[in-house]
Amino acid sequence: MSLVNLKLLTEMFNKIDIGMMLINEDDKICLWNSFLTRHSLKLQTDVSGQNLFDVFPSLPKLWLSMKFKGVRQLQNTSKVSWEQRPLLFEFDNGGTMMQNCSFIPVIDPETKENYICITIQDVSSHAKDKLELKEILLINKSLEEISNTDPLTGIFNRRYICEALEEQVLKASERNLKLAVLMFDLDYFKLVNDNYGHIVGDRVLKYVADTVCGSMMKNSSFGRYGGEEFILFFSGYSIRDVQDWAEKIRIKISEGAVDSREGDIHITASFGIAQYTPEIKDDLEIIHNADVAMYRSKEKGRNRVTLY
Amino acid sequence: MNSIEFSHEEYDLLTELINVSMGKSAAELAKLFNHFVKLKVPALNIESSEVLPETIIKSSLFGELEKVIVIQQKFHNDYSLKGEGAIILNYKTRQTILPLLELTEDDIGSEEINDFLLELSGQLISSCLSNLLMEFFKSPTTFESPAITSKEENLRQVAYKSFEFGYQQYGDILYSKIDFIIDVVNFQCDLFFFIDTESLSHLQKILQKILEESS
Repeated sequence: MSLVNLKLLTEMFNKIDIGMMLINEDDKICLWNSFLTRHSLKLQTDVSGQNLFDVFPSLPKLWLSMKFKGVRQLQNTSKVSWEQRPLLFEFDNGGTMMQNCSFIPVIDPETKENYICITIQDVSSHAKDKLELKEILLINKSLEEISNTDPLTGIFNRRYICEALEEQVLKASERNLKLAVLMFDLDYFKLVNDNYGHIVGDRVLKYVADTVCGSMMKNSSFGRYGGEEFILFFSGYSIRDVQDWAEKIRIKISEGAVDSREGDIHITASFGIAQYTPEIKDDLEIIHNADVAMYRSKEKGRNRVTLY
Repeated sequence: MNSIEFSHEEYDLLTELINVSMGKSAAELAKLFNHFVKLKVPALNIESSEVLPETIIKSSLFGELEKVIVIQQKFHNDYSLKGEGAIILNYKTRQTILPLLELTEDDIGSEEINDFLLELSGQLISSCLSNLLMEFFKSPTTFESPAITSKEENLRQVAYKSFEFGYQQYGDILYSKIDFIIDVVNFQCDLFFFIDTESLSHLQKILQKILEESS
């Protein structure tokens, strides 16, 4: 005997804060919950037996029909995020609802008929926050495109340093010059941000950038690769010279501190160094190698320098 | 030396299961597209993700400096197995999507092709993976929405930039390459599956159990 009855299931179906409907193989609506009634101002009795594309005339029929075909034949759930289609279902209640939709294959266990359950989740507030963040990131990106420096630390930004490195790799390959790339990443930096906040986190990044800038060697460049990751390249130095320099900087960073209301914050960093060899085709490869060496430093316990 | 090694028997079993599931997927997809579909599995390996960029470049159907489009889709099966599927195709193949779907340029604008491309990629990835994972798990596999992660870069740039797996990046990854070809409309793309480091030992245990039961 079933533990729940149909009335209870219907009650749940109508109370859930997600739009749910069931369509049959001819795209006709069979079930429609209260969430959809509230937002479309149409009752289950109004839409029952009607074609989905007649009830929502703005739906992209060709594309959605292809999706339905796939869901029915492959029996896999298909999802559409608000990022891909922000307003797939347009509702009549006047509001703008950003949606995450799912198309779930359902087979009637008795008749073996094929249905699709469509769920519509209102993600407007999450989407709005994400869009605002995206806008800020876009502004920052366009600022980065007209500038060569990272606004927080004052050192070169990723775009500039990577372009400069691309040129250096080309020169090194043409003239057989020495070139080394160093990448380093601050250890447990997320904890600094989580425990002390982003303002203190920014001061830590600035402290690290200043520490490195104060000890730069000639013919080297320094930039922020992203987040708490930094990149340098050295032209004309032996790998030993670069390794010695990295050791000094590693110690210097770990011995200093950034003061905060909660006391001094100590930070360490993990370093990786890769040397240019004629087999290396471009900047992508040498950066990858330095990155691999850096993660080996992390794996070995952090706060160390590793050669690729 | 990888941190997780599969025995020959485990590899053979996995290869066999992949071949069986690809056979099912090819049949399903052929029905969906009304064309004969070829799915070949030229590579299945556990590799350190340190070498993944070069592996992708070497095994791709496309040239290293060819501009490609990448669609990536994450999946998991009750979080006991997690990974990512990726489709790589070039712009010439993109043009074959309309005939494959029996559409013409009058039906949809060039802007809309990406929507169809995403849909098609989602169907390819989910069909192949669902059939494979069904061999291991009773519960259905959950797929995130597919996303176009690159459309302006060449294969080399994509291989070095797009396939990052965070900190797991430098662990071992089960990597499988599938060639997806529909001759009639000249549609061909790379289909990669990556199963992350954490899931590998889980997968190995299941393979061992199947082997034990069959012996």
